[in-house]
Order: sequence, then structure tokens, then C-alpha cells
Amino acid sequence: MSRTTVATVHTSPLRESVRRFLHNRAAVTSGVFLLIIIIASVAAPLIAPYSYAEQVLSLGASFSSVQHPLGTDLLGRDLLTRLLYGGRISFAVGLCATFVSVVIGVCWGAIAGWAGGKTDAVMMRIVDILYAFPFTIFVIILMVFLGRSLLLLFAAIGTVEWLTMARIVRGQVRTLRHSEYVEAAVGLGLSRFTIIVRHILPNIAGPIIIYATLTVPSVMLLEAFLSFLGLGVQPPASSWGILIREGAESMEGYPWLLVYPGVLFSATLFSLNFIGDGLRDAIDPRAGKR
Amino acid sequence: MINLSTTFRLPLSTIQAVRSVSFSLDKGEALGVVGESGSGKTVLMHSLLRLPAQPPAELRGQALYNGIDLLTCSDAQIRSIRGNRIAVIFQDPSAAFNPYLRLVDQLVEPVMLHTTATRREAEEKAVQALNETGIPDAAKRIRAYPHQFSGGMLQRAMIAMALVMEPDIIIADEPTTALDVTVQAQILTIMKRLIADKQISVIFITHNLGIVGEFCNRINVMYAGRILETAPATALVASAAHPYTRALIGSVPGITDRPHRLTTIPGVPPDLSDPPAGCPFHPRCLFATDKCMRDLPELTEIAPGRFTACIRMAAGEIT
Repeated sequence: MSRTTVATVHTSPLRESVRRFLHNRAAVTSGVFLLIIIIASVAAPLIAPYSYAEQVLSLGASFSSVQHPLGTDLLGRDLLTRLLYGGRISFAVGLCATFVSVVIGVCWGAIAGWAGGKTDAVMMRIVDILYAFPFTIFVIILMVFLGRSLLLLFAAIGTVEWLTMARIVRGQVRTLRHSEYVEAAVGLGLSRFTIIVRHILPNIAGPIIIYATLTVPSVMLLEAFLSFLGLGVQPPASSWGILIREGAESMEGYPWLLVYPGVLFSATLFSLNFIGDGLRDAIDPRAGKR
Repeated sequence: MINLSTTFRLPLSTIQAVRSVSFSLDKGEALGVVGESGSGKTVLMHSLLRLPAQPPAELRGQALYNGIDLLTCSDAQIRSIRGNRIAVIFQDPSAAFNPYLRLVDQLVEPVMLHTTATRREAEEKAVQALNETGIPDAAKRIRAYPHQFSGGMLQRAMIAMALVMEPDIIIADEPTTALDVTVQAQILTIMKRLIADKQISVIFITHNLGIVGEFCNRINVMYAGRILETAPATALVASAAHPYTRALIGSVPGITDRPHRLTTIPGVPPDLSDPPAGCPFHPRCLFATDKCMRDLPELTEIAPGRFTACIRMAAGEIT
């Protein structure tokens, strides 16, 4: 028998995670679905059949037809168009606010976790205090006093959503801080900054990414909620929250005005959560090491 | 060169983990630090490089390296010494490498940090260092992740990482404890060869007298944060002076040539938040007298190059 050479395949943890993620059918399906929605939303000005503000008052609220596949709302505006444009706002809010919350949360948590002692105590008490804050009222007050700009909406949601992220990161950094390889890195003469960026953050990228994907839907929900209350995006611009509110108002006569946006929104939230779960399973190193 | 005390202040107690330990290390010398768990040997090493300790430690004394006091110099200064002039080999190689980075990424770190080498040059250096520790096919293996190596291979890589900057001093903290016995011997041989080649001084921390006896020129025996005896390795193993050292040697099989019954040391090491008065070993010592309970023995020269901290030894009462 000839000698067999055992090929040493240097699979990186990343590649291993990707492989596992691709084996998760729910997550992949969700990903594809989400991708389609996002592309359609981004390309709304190109593919939407009408303008989002174009009214055909004579039409009124009409059911699905050849001209208007998802029907029109009370003012005769094409619902499909408004859903596509609404998706732009919803996703923009979701992604931007998540980004803000990740940046603040990771920095805050990493600093608190690394510093330890009094610094840690003070920083985390601030988080606790903000947690205890009646957030909805806080955002509403902010909106009322500072006006209803979209930018402010991002900022308001982002500043609230980073709290949990900060706690997660802080906890992870604290456990890693006294791990031997971090000690070894100190022993090599690396600076604190380099150690955190090069050795600690990659090790906690998993929880950060997962929590971020789970933040996106919660932020979108928040935006919908605020828009529903009339505090978010202003008409004639649309967001999914606004469409759901308008739908809810005319639910009795024209249920499809609520059903279409509702189904789309729920499906999107489901997908994001499935993806988050899929990522968690894929990244968790304990799941691997076959 | 070194005179050091490390104290941990806790809310309820103060632990004196290292109590005015002083010793010096010559170029090319291999110094063994032997002691039971909790005798302060690892704390001693951490203190020397000011590695982070939990809870934060309070350092007193001096640790002079080329005229720089490691305990008081600036953070930037100690960072330029760590990994560059004084390197550390850790106990558990599988924990001391970052699992998310390839070996090459971690091995080039000290080189990139302490020299102006480019990434390519640093990689060459890293491969060369890895080669020297006897890892086959180093140029290719270096691209693998830590979990794809065995413990022994990783410890070789760790040695390579410590040696890549050709430091003056290597502190090895129980470098073979996590490995199985056959691999231990290989690692020790590799270390011995490389250290002799490059004229590096070593502080070798272990609880295994058998290993240091072969490996080191000189041995410090630590107990309860103090040095009880310091002597040339061969002399120490052949004829230990301090009662503690004797008991320690008596409890290890096969160090001395003549067969003997293995003995145990009764009792447990003292609580360092409240160390016993007088000689720290007196509660467990077979030779203890009333005087031992009162007076703290100093290291006394009992033969050329041999110091021991025992009152009765110094007085010639025990032989």
C-alpha cells in the first residue's frame, strides 16, 4: 500500500463558522429573503412603479389590481411603492442606530472591563442608571423639544440601545483580561490598546456580531413604534411603522392596508432573528471542534 | 540585583506573597526557583515584569536590570523590556496563545513591536526561531492555528516566541508542568541547548526539584514568600542543608542515587495573610526549637556559595 499523506488543512475559525452558518437552512433562507428586501428597498426609486407621494384621489383605497399589485391607500397612493420607500427608512434607521450602539457599547464596555476597579464601577453604574430610565418617555421628550428630525431619531435610539452591548462586552473583556494569552501579550510588551484591539476584540467578535444582528430588529420595531405614535418619520414620507399605523386606522374597511405592511415587517424581523440565531450557533466555538 | 516584596491588600486581609526576596542573576546563569504551590514563586515572576495581578499588587524593593529598576520605571520603558530583553515562557501553552490568531500572527508580534522590521522580515525571523525549536516544516506549520498543534509543539512555539528577540533573560514559569513526561524531557533538552547557544540567563520556576537539579546552575528554595536556601544545584541536591529542602528532596523519587523511603512533609504551608512568627517553616519542622518560633532566620553562608536561612544550621546544631 502506498503511503498516504494526511493533508493538513488550515481551516480558520472564520471559514469554519461560515461553513456552519451555510448549513443552517432557516438562517440561509432568512438571509436570502432579507437580501431581496434590502435590495428592493435600496433600489426603490428605480423599480417602484409610482412616486411615493403620487395620489389618485378618485381611486381611494382599492384592492390589488393589475396597476397596483398591493392596492392603494386611502389617498390612492400605491402601497407597493410606499412599502419599498418605507423599507428604505426602516432599514436605514435600523442599521444606523445599530452601528451607533455597537460603537458606543463596545468602546464603553471594553474600557470599563479592562480598567476594572473604580472606573469600571462608575461606568457600569451609569449604564444601570440609563437602563432604569423610562426610555420611551425620554425619546418622546427629546422629540418634542428638539423637533422631529430623522437624525435625532437615529441618535435617540442609538444612545439607548448601546447599554446591553456595553454590558456584554464588559463581561467578556473581564473574563479574557486575566486569560493567559492576554497575560502573555502583556509579557511581550504590547500596549493596552494593541492588546484590546488585536487580542480581545477578535475573541469577542462573536457575541458582538450576534447581539448587533438582534439589535437591528429591535431598533426597527422601536422606529415603527415611534412612527406609530406619530413621533417618527413625517408624512408624506413613509416607513413601515407609519404604514402599519395608517393600516390600523382603516383596518375595518380596508384590512389589506394593515396586512401587507404587517406581514412584511414581521417577516423581516423573523429573518433578522433567525440570522442572529444562526450566527450565534455558527460562531460559538463550543459548537465546533468536531 | 533583585530585592523584592509583593503584598496584596485585600478588603479583609493583607497577603504578603513575597517577603524581601533578594537574589541576583549573572549572564548565562540558569537559576531555579523551587517551592510548593503558594510559596510565592509565580507572584515573584509576575512582579518582576509588573504583569497584571488580581487583586492589584503592591510592590516594594528594587529589581535592577542593566541599571533600570523594573519596579519603578515608566510603563513605556517596561513595555520595551518585556518580550524584548526579558521574555516569559508560560505554564500552559494551550492557554497562552490566542485561539483566533494564526501562530505566525502571534510570533511576529514581538519582532514588529520591538524592531523596525517589516512584516516579511519578521515572518522570516519567526520561522527561523520555530525551526530552531525543532518543529518540522516550520514555514508551513506557522500558518496554522494554535488548536491544530499538540501541547508539546505549542510549548516549542512558545519557546520560539520567547527566543525570537534573543532576550537577555527568560523567565520560565513551570514550562513543563502542563506536558506529559516524555514531552517534558524533549522540551527541557531544547531549552537547554538554545539557552546555552545564545548565552541567555534563565529563571526557571518549578515545583519539581528533579528538573531544576539537572537544568540549573543555582537553586533558590522558596517557602511562604521567602528564600530558605540558595545553593549550587548539584550541591543542593546532593546534600541539602535546610530542613525544608531536605524534606522536599525526601519527598521526590529518584533525585538522589541511593534508594530511600519517600517521606511527606506534615502540615500545610502557612497562611500568608498571617505568617507564623520566627522561621516560617517552624510549625512543620522536625528540628524546631523555641528559638525558631521567635527569631526570623537570615540567609547565612554555611559553605562557599551556599546560604541557608536556618538558625540551628547556622549555629552548627544540625549537620
